Amino acid sequence: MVREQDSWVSQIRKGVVEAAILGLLAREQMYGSQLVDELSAHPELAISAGTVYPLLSRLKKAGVIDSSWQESPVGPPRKYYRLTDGGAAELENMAAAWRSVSLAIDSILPKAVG
Amino acid sequence: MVVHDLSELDAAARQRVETYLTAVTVAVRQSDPDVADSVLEDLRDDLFAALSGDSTADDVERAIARYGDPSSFGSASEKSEDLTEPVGRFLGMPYDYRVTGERAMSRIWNPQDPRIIMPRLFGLGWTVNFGAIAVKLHLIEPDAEDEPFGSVSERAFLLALFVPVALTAFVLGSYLALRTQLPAMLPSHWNAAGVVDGYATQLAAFLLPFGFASTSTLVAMWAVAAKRSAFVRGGYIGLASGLSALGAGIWALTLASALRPPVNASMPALMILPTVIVPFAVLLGLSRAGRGAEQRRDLVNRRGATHV
Repeated sequence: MVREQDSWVSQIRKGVVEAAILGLLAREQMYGSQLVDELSAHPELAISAGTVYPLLSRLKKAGVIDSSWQESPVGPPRKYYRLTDGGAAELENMAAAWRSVSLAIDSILPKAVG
Repeated sequence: MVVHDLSELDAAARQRVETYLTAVTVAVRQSDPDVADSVLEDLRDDLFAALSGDSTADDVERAIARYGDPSSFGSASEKSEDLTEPVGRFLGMPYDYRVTGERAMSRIWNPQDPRIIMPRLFGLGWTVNFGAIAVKLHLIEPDAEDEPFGSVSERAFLLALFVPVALTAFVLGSYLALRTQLPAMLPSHWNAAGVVDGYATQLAAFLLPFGFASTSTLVAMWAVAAKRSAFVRGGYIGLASGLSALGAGIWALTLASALRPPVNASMPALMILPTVIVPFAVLLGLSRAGRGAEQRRDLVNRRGATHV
């Protein structure tokens, strides 16, 4: 049963990582390692560099984010990622879906548990 | 109105279906080599559901028209010129070596994946992910290039190709130059202490390392000349650099053992080292050239444009 639970938790995480990345980029444009640092500040998401970078590639191919090299105040130029207009709309959909699902599940789960 | 197998259709209709599904498969695999087979199976089932045993080629054409152009199944806009190239068939099975090439290459150069040891290049064993090593050494960022080697210039590819070509030329040139001075039997095997424990004829001792170097170099030259995808070109050049460095190393050890014995015990190990270092340097160089090209594109445009 422990195994079952582990895979269930990791399934949930997998599904929300995209929303987390888009959400961070909605605040401001960020470069790769900055995103990794911001995400690893939330250990419950368990996101590593190995998952962030391939995901960034995929999101860019899908057109929800875009990237460009920019001079940085310190050190070498950095590749910054930002949300596209399509990405902002996508994020809104995700946020709405997340809220309605989490409301429904909250109302179903018994209060005494957890 | 449903068919379950291509054999239920007449020849013309069947051929139209096969051509279309192959084109879609290529388009999809090009935009994402790891796309699930189920996506393609769904499309096939959907198409089959619209056909019956007595559907003609024209019926197939109408059914296909609903799905649109095969290229629309891949995000293939920037690669669209590749779609016109032929895809082969072997025993009736469509194949596309560009895709398998890219898959293989993603094992030896994948900076986005932190794993250094990657499983199964060419379906056996494991392989070293040089991209992960470069990232660990802070020589390149995981996302330094949008597509591996995608922005590398023609010139930089030719420059990189010079490495395996030069190593192959060294093996061939030194053989031709020294052939008459070399003994009839040459050292061909060394034990762990670096002592020669096996001999081969002069020609055999030359052909083995030369074969490594020349075959892989020819494949890399072909990939560049035939304008394979940037990733495949870079990967084959990297692979050829490694194999030709191996060939050149073995041949140099053979010459040293034959002309200036005794060979230092650490020499066999030293001769193997370039097999790893040379392809690493070549792949890293290509990747940094690609990063440089991306940076020039973005940074120059930005400086030139007025901020809105």
